[in-house]
Amino acid sequence: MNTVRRCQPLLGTFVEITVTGEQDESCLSVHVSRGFERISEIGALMSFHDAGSELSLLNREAFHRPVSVHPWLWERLHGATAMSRLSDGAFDITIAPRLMEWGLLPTHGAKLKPSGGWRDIHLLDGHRVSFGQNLAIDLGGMAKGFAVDHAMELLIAAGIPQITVNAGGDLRIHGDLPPLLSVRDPASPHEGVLEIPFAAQSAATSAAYFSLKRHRFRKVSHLVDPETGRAHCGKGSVTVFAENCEWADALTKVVLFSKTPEIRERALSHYQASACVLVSGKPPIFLP
Amino acid sequence: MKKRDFLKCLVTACAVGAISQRARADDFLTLDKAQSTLFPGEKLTAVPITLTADQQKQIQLLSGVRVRSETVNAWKSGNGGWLIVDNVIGKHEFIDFALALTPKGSVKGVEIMSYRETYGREVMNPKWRALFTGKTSGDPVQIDKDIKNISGATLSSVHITDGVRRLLRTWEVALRGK
Repeated sequence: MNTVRRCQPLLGTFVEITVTGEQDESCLSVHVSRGFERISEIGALMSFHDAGSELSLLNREAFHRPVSVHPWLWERLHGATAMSRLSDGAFDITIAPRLMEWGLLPTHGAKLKPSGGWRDIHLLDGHRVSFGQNLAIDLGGMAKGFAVDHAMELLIAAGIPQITVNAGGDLRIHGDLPPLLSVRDPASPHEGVLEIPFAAQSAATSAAYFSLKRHRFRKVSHLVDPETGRAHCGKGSVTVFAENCEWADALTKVVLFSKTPEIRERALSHYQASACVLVSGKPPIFLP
Repeated sequence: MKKRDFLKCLVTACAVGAISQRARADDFLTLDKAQSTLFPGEKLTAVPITLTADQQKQIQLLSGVRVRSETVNAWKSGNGGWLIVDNVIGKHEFIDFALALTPKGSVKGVEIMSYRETYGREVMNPKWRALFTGKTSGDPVQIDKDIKNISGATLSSVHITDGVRRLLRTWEVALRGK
């Protein structure tokens, strides 16, 4: 058995792919390169940072006219609005104007006031999309999770028996699952890790510790409660295990911002997912 | 004890205190593997480059990124492409990476070769970084090399983007036409 382990800076973070199989190293490496290419392709399509992406086109135009988009992007929007509906708005991809205001996302020259929400995203036939309000949407971690899932499918199709794809914490494993997942310790995220049981093939973690900053004397982070418009700046993390990374990443926000435990449980159960909440100095909380 | 000696002792004590922390190190590609991954089947020739003070200033001005070293670790491929091995220092991380350029100076690929992460500010200290190369075994840094499946909030790769921008300008100023 041969193993190839590579890492590239993609999707604004570090993406690691590790494959083990009977094929020789150069052959495995070619498959890994294809995986990275696919991730880069999805990033280019769904990037908020890139003014030339299809997502940016949507943000510029969809309030004025229906915009035809790539089926992959349309399907993500469909999945995102379904999760918003199920979580009663705890997950909402329209919080981007807040992040633009706080300097956590580029404005691309637009001055947007937070208005509207996920209900103003209208998905039309022929993979067209229109906005009922002047929205800015950011798929964020959901796009990253989808990129991991897609690269994984490509590598599985190449007949590789053991694969790990990890995009900055959105991690998916094919083959034998290790017994434990290492999660950054929220108390010292650069230094320590805590280990929790691996509950499904995909895991994603959300926490504020890497994006905390001050905006007008107020602490802000990239995690925004759609209900209040306030940033989550707590010293903890939420890890979700699910069938795929896309759902796992989106569900971390559902766990963080659900208005009631019932809504949270309903969403986790619908996606057959489970979660682990880590708070510094306290034992982990496992949900459900 | 003279004041200067006292300060020297204090600095040494602080440094020893700092390096006893935990750190995480991940190695992905050796130099050989980086070369064969980015230029498969091609023969690369080392081209030693030392930047003049003027060139460093020019690169800094064009890229907006500080030039830390006058040495460029560069290799040229048969068709005029380039491989540059360099590193970037973040607030908590020190990263070696390999950049492949086409003969026209555009990015062909970027591979992370090794990644070292720590909590403290000692990442800025070259002596501390040297501890990870294996030259100084027995040092009190506890290195976690076995943590493979790690999840956490997304760590930004913006330093690599800056490093690539600096190297693209380095090609323009010092490598083009060599």
